[in-house]
Amino acid sequence: MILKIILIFLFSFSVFSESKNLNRKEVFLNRFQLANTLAEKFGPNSKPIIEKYIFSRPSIFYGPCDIYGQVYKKEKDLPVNILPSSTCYSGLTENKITLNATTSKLRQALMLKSCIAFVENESTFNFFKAKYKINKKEQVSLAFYPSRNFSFKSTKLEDAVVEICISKGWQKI
Amino acid sequence: MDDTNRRIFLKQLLSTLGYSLLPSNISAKTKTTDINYVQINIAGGPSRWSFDNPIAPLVGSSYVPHPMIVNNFSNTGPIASLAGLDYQRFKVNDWYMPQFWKDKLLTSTGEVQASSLLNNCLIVRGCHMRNDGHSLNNRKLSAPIPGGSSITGLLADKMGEKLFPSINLVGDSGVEAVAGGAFKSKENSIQINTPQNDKNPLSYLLSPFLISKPHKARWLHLIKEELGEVGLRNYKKMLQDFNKRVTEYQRIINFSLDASYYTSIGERPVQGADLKAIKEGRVDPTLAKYLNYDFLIGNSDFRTILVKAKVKNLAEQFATAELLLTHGLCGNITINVNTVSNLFYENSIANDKFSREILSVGSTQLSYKGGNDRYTGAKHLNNFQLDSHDTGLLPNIFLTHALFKSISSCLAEFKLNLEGKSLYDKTFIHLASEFDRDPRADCSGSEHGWNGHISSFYSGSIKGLKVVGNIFTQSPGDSYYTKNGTWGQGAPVKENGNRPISYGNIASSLANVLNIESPSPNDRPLFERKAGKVNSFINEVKNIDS
Amino acid sequence: MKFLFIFTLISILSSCNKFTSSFYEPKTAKDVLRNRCVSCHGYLEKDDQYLTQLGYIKPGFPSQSVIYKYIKKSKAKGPQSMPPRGELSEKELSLIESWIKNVKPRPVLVGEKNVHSITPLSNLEVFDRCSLQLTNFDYSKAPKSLITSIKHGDISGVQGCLKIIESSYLKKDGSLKEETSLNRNTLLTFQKLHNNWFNEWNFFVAMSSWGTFEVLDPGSMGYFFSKSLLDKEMSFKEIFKGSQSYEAIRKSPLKTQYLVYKFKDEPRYKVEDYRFIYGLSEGSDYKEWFPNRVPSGVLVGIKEIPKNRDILKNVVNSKDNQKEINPAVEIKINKDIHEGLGGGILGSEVFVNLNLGQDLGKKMNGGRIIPRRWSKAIINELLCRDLPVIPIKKAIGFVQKNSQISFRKKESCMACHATMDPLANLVRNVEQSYSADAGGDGMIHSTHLRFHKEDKKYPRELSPVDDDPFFHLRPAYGRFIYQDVRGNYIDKEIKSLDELGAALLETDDLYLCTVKKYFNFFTGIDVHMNLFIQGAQTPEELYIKNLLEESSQSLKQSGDLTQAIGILLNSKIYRSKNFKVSE
Repeated sequence: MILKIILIFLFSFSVFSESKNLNRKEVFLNRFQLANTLAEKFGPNSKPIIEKYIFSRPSIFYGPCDIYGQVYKKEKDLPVNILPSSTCYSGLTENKITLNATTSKLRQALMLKSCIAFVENESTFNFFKAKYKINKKEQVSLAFYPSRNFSFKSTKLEDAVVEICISKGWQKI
Repeated sequence: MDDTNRRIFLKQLLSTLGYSLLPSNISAKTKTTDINYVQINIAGGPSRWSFDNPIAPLVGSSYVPHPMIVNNFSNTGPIASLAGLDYQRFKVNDWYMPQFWKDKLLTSTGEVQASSLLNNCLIVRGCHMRNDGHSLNNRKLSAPIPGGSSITGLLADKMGEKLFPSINLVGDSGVEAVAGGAFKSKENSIQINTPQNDKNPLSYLLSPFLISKPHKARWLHLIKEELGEVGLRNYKKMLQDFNKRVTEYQRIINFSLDASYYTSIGERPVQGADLKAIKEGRVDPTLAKYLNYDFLIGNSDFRTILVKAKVKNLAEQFATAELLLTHGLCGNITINVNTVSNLFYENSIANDKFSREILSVGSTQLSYKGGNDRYTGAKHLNNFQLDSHDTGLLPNIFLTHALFKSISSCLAEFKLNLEGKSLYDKTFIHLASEFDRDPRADCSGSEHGWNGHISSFYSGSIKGLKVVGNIFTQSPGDSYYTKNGTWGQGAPVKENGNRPISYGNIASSLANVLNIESPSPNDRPLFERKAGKVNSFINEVKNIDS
Repeated sequence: MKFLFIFTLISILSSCNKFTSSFYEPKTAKDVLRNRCVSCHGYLEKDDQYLTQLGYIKPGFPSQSVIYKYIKKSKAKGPQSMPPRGELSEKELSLIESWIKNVKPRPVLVGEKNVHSITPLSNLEVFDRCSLQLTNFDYSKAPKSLITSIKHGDISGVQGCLKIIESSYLKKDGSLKEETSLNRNTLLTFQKLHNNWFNEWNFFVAMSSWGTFEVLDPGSMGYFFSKSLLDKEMSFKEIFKGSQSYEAIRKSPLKTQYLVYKFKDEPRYKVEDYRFIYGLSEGSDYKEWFPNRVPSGVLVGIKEIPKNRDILKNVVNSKDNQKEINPAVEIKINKDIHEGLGGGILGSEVFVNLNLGQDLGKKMNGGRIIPRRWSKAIINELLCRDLPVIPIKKAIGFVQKNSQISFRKKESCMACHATMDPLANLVRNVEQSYSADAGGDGMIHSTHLRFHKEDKKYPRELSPVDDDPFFHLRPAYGRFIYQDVRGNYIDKEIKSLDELGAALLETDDLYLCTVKKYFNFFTGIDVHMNLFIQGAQTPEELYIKNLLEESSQSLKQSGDLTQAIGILLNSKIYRSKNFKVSE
């Protein structure tokens, strides 16, 4: 018994003796990369969904705005940015958000909402199926993971697409 | 040792062995913190002399009066007259606070005296901000070293499993110009800024998790898999509670805006400005006392300025903060207080019809350019400019009272609900603004008091009321006006190395309480939290003759 | 069992704050330091290696350790003056003594170790990764010929990545050689990355200075790096010399109709409603000037700002809300608002303006009022170091017992100030000013720097001063007092910002700092500069250290950022799936 404890003690010592000069963070796709990747897969009609859940949330999906990339034009007496990809949604502080994204429950929740929306929207789902020539769930893997097989828990095709869409693997750099 | 005890002992042994062997720095601050921080930020820096900046906190405190630092009509008769204005204190335990604390605040369980909030309150006065500037100093309230880490950022790094590392409830001031805009963490933690003056900030924050019933049913297995318990909480109920709480907070705020309940100042009709006899050219300098930014207020009973008043978005922000804390969703929240708006003006004249000439320091002359335009009405733009340069004596008395009573009432209600969930001891509430103010001799307003910032703290872990920090009875210089009476200019504190308190000291103190590293490590803390209780390292609270 | 029980007790008490009792009972030296010293000497919270490296303790030798020598009643020969009130108990003293005696410097690995990528990526996968990171698109959007070459093995994935960077190179006039959406994205990605290296960006400090965003771009510091990376003619070294500044070339179908800064909850201000004013206003009379606005639109290039394009004739030295006590005075300066003080980025208007840290109208006085924030920013942002960098025994030499300024009398304070202050003295002639005394409805005013001209009447100061009213008129003079990551102690006289730039370019720190930031962007691994000071302690650390050394040396020798980045991308760690290598 005591030996086991000593072994656990030594193990935890070695584990925690890991490098302290390196601080490692998994890099996830930021909102720009995510937006382009998803638009590729789900077509032009996915853009409003992406804007609503992903692109307009820089504090959750990271990716700084471009202050002077914004060009405001008067439309019906209101200023509208004609170059929307540069928009600083909550103000100029967004220009200091980092390029590298990290994950969080908030990100996961919004990805879930987006992926469900892509599947429930006929035009985005049809675009996806047509692009990757999919009629059964086994073919979905290639759309997100071209060089490996994704093991699904879902049985239905729609569920499989959502499942793979929210998976973290393809969202990492 | 029997078997159960042995198992418990071994569990503890393993967890602490593992923890204690972390080769991290020796301060051994925990990876997560269990103390909540709520900053109530009042951007603009309105005067706090008659609220929580006691200019004479001890029985023997000497002070030099200033005609703008008044809170009591002492004359007899049916009308409260200007000539009767003076400064009155109110004894709370061993301290002498301004009379404001006599007021009754409304809560959902009935009325409480405002001074009950002071049962758990620490006030740090006379803090020197070094440079003037709104944005510079308001941002310092979060990041004491400009460009460096912020309290909210360092706290966000330690939020552990909480859903939201840091939340900034955005008001009129937006994000970048104020404390919320100085958010900076070390571990790339995020701060969510709610949309400006959002009617339902809680709904915005929870929106990632708000899934309609049919969707939830359809996708339940994936929600469970991906989000776990977080995805399955009853957010609908939280939003229903939110609506109820907003209604309640709004009721409380509405009561706070009823001037007739203000101790002394609202008890009877208040003498208004006599604008009927006004002629072109030099006018009675007393009229300056009725200036409110862009209007000279002509209300015959001055109290009526508040009959239609509102404080936008305060109820929504407090309700959001309360629910976030009580549901354990976030322990790091900034509330941005909006001003008192929709003031009722009767027979008032626009300020651009007046010219206020500065003849020399402290000597001004008010002249009327003429014209018969009078304005009567209430609109959103008639408001209290929190940066009250041109808020004259009368508006300042009433509007600061309205603002701070609204905040205090919400705070009392907030406290009640936190106590109900045993969270008040673990929550540290910080009422902060850039600085207090240096009043004008002609009582037409007040200037920035950048060397007299005040922070007040409320928490169950603070036992009783304590006021710390030294101020000058008369400014010796290095402020807007010199020899301007006692308004709160920071003076050296022996216990602080013979220097006035700086904001870095306050930030280090907050770091101590919140169990995070200090964003201003070179500034020593003024207080700490040990065994659930806040202890102050300094005791000086002198009014110093320069 | 008994032993384990006691050990547990010690662990519990020494680790978790949760269990701290309400009375103080030290069990370790760290307890003593935390409770008796840290509130004034914050650095004593840092770890053993740090304290060793900076000379606070000598492992194994308490009597030769600075900390121990300072403690009252310690048996070491020294000042024995701490703590200032009271003294440590015998127990506390012995805890400190045995701690120092038992500190063992951690073993340092030297020499090359053969590593391999864990889960290596194929060439196409590497190319896909860097495509996403640079252009925000996966490799499928890259030119077909490039994809084919990689697929056929004609070029490696990393070479493909370098082609992405090279195709975003700029022409002589500063615009992209090849303007495609991918190249624009690459340019913008690098600019955003470089912009993130600098902390201060908000011009809105006081009184209507939000207008500064209309004429000065807070991303200016980033342009120096972006231009050097993407302009073959601009060596890395040129970032740190000259008084040239850079601005964006932006394209837009129309000019922006609204101002950059959205003020409070008011609707956005329209450009057509606002004028730039300068100098003192007489009643409602304002003088108008017409500087070039910061361009808005899609970023398509970076160019030099032409000299003397935007001249500000007069400035004022006080705010409109201080009319009474400090009426504004109009001062003729006729200054090119984009001209720097020298040293390239170091003296550029935006970098100094944002980091000046001093109030409007304050002249530098050599004591409390010098631009320390600026010098600290150089150390933090360009050299990636935290103060203090010099060992405590060197700091002792800078103490001025006769100074009225409290921090000048303490070596623990001078450990940081000895580096910050002499550096800050270099920009002594700078003063914050406003373009006009009023701002608000319809009027824009902005903050700018005013440069005082050296006055021969006031020669260089012979020693540090507490408060010299003519300090700002004396010749620019400072010292670069620094200990680099190699342990070299530098004490160099500096007479201009160009000289400072040259001194920084001689250190290895500058290059290591730069490449490690790129490494962090590409891999998510943040390397602490301590790695280069203390040496590697694990094989992974050693590998990364060697990689960054190689990349930084290449940058130092060639001045070519692309080359340095290429070394990082070509590494086994970048070409592994999870950025991991092992032996």
